[in-house]
Amino acid sequence: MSKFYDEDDVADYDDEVPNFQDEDEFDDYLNDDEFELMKQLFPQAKKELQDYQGWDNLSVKVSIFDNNFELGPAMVELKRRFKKKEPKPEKKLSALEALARKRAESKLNKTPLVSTVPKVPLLDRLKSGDKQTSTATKTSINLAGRLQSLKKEGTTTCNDSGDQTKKINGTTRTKSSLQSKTHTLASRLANLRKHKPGTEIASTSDKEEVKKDAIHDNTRTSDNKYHRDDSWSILNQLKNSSCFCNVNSIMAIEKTPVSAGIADKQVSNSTFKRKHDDMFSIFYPNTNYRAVKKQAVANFSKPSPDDVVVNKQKAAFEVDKVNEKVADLSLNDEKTNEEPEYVTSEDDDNEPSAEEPLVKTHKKAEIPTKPKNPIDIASYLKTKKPHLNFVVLGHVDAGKSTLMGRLLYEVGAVDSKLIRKLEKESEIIGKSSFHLAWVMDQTAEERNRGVTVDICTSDFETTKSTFTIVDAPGHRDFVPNAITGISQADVAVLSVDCGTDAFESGFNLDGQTKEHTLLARSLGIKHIIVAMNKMDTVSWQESRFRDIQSELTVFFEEIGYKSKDLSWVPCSGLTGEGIFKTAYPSSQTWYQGPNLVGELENIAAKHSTIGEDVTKEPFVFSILDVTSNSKKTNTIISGKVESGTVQPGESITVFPSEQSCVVDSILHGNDSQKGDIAVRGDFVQLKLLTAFVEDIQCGDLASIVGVDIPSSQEFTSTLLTFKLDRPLLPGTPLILFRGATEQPCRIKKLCYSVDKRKLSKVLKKKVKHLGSQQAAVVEIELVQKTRRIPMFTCEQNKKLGRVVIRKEGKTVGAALIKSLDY
Amino acid sequence: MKLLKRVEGSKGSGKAILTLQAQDKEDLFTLYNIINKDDEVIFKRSLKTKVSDGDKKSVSRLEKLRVKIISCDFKPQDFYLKYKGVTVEDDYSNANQDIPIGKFYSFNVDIDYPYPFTLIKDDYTPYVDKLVKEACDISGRSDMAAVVLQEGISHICLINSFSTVLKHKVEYSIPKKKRATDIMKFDDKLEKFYRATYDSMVRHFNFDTLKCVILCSPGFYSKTLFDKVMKYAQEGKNKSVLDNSSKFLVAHCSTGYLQGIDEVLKDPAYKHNLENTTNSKHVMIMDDFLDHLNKDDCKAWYGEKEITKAAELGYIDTLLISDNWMHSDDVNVRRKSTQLIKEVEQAGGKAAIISSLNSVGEELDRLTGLACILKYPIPDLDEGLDDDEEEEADEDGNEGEDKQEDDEEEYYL
Repeated sequence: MSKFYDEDDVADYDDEVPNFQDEDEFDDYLNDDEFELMKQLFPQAKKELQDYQGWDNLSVKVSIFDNNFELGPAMVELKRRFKKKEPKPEKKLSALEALARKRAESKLNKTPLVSTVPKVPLLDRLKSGDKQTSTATKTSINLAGRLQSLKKEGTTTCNDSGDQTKKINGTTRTKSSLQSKTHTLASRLANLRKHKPGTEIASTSDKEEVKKDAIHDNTRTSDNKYHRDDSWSILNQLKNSSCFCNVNSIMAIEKTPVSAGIADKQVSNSTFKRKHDDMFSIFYPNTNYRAVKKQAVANFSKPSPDDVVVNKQKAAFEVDKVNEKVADLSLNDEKTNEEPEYVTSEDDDNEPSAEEPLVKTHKKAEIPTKPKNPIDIASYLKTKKPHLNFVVLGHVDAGKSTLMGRLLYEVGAVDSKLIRKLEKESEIIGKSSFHLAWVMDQTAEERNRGVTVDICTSDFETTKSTFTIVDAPGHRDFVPNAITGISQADVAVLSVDCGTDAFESGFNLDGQTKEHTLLARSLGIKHIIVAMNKMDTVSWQESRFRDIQSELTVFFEEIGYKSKDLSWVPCSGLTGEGIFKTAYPSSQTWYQGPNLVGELENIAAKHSTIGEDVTKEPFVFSILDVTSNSKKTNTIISGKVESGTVQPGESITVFPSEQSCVVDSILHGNDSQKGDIAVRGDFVQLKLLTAFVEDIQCGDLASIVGVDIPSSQEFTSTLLTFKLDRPLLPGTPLILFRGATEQPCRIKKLCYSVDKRKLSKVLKKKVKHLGSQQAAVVEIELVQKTRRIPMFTCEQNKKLGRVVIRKEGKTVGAALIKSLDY
Repeated sequence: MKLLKRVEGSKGSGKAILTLQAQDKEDLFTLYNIINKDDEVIFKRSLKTKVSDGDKKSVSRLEKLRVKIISCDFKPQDFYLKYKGVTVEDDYSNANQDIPIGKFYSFNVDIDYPYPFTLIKDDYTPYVDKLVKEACDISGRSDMAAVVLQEGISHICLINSFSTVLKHKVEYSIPKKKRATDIMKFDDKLEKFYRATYDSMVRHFNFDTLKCVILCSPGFYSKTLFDKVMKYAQEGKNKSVLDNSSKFLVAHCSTGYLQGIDEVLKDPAYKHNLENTTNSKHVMIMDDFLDHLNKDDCKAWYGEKEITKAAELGYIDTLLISDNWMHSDDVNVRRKSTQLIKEVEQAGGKAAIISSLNSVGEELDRLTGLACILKYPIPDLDEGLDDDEEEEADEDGNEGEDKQEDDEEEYYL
């Protein structure tokens, strides 16, 4: 179908009007004249339909078009189709209404008789007000004539309107008030035409007039107008003064509901060429699914979002409210981002997907839950023996794991059956001296290489107290794991290889003896037991013992351990002397102190984690490992209770993912026995219900519901540097350690340097780089922006407020967290 | 990259018109460095236009556009480079025929289906010239790949002379060993982790074109990974891996995070394997700079004012400059940095332009992007440059020895 019509085509185009899908398509369909006229009529129509719902621009336009650009009939038709927003039935007028209907009907029957002889274009147009009653050919003639007149009037002056009114006057020969109204209507229509593009003679006065008229019209209801138009044509046709009473009666029912008009037009409706339903409902391609179509139609019958906005805007500018609203207005500082508008057709760029999302958080609970079987904490604590967590440190091959294996064997935590089995297995691969270490070193890698890789915890009990061993790796590549171990312990056992040259290599040449001790100091280990291991290889010589002791003492004092924080025990892990049961050989006469376990018991009594104050502090748990069963219905987190107590049934929140879970049960010890309570210092496994395993990582913290642990990306800390090869500068890449958390980070800013001995004293306000053995306040940020670490400041928690930083495999500094920045 | 045509303006004007064609991924980095704000580009792209207002149909036509660059969007990990620009009048070719002036268009550098395009530069510096020449010389390429890993975490990276691009990160939570746990479970998980790492390597690396594949880790993880890679490759009959097994370099570093790669690059033990790569050269220079700084021999300085002063004096031995300075949006900054390099080179020094897309450049950027190593120590280079004086805090050391101990306690406990 072509898009434009010649005037010749006009005669039969009425039959070819397609179904339009949207407004634009319809606008295209119109020719220029029609479009211009539509532009004038449409706003008025819209205004009149304000009270109605469910209409859209297209249907209004189509309706106007179908009514040959007669606003009145179009309005009636539309109002019949769409519901009024708040129907207000006015029953009082029902009698009048009935009368009007009757009369209107009688007149309609007469109209066809006269309308066969249309001569004056304007009259045609007016008559087409009830064109539903005329035949299709008539309408097309009407339209053709009208278009002609449009053309003509485009070139004539505004006098036209006067002429036309004269003609009207001539035909009516009446001078009633009603006539004057139609006069204005006629002149308005004439003026409208003058505004066609191409005819630039339209003066501003015309425009004003049009506006005035438009306003004038719009103040009336459309039925009123319809009746007026209708009555006017009737007037013309009958040329009968008797019709005045009719007109008056119609005028009287001006305010009758729409139904009056609807009734009038019901008959003529059937003469429509096109199926009414198809034309005025939305186009839906697939008619097989009636329900779907119905739904679609229903959707379109609601006011569209645009309509809602338009209506709101109109409501907003109702004169009486405008003042109020203006008074309510306030300036907001929101900056409008004036980005240049880019041309469309850019959609073909396939931009790479965005960065991975930030840490997923869940909704955390606020209300604590009650324990299932509450027990009296105070009386429970009285039954508990003193408890101690200790970590075994030392240079690689200093015999840490063997020492621990021996210890566990002697105290009875490991049965001799297992030891014999391990002995056999180790002989097969030719490492028989490692059989005790294999108690702790279980993975294939560790056994084959004879190196401890990861920490391993184990519980044992003596008559006086209970202990948890954390066996740490000694190899420099696994210092990160050792840091995890150290951060879990309160006391350290430093295993020193007393063999010839072995101590020296572990101590002097960047061995781990020093680094481990430094880490222990930085992470708040209170006491160090120096286990002078492998004394059997030097025949228990006292001189060797004293030499090493004096050399180590100097170092310990340098980093801040005093003699009261140190104890020295000669022993041999492999043979077992000086550990627990096995007595020292007869050649050793110079040491009379307690053996290793004895010394541990003494320390346990002094530094026990069990105390009355646990009831007062909140429960905080550091997570070392997360596992879940295959169905992921419940999760087991293992770690250490940093403070407070927890009982099954209580709820905890895991940070930074902020998920709250109920503790289903608590598993203690090597063989995962169920317990009723976990108190500070315990290494336990907590079975959680409904946890999101994938969002929990090693190093996360958990706390009792109601206690929040802030997590951070950037923080300010007081940093103390150790011995450095390269200075620390802003941007220097580092690895940050806090408990089991390991994250790459960098220095964001060097704030100011402080005195190493007195951290509150500012030395230099400006620091360009940080060398060895200096202290400074620095800002540290994580490299990975998607990760946040839950943190305490040093004031909040002495142990968790400490971090260690490493670079290129060396521990370069320790820091105390001052504040979390982000 | 192919240089199809070069027209240089009159001598000294610094103008040049280049016709270039990007060919591989590394060219994106070159282009990113040479196309600056306010440069003009003539290129062809297909534009979609609607037939008429109301119609939903649209036609695409190939249009020749000349735009002035406004901004740049570069995502190295996806090899995605897009410029935004506004059309300008064309006096050189017959571009912008049906396009009004002042419309915004984007220029997408596509290395898969490259069109030649014309670049019009007002400041064609020797630096740009060098970059173009280097980009056209394929023999100088040094593509490497690296896998840096530790237990449960591995980073799969591509390294070229401009950047270290993290292609993928494999993260598995390996259960901690416990005395009671089933050790099989642990091994299972570890096997899965290595498998995932291998799969990712095969997916991201083109072993035939790479010069070297570095596997580095603390401990023995890299060796294990190498064994596993060979095993998996044999199982899956992956010929490209097996044929290039000699390209693998198993190295040691202290961490499984990206920093580990730099450690390997500057480790003398691997020097002979990695020689001639721009990247490792830059790592060395940076390390040298830090060494001087650590020795506090007053030969290493950073900061704009300090460098400017040192350059004026002609004392700079090695200038470290971030490429952010070289392709800054501000013309004055670009001019200044070009001038700086010229000064240094005239005084017999070297200038190292370090890409901000690798870790060394990132580090340098944090140090204002400018640093230098001097020929002779100058202790007072920064004298009179700083506005706020470095106040030495009052020495009140006699405030009581016993008090010091208390403070120490406060720190350690």
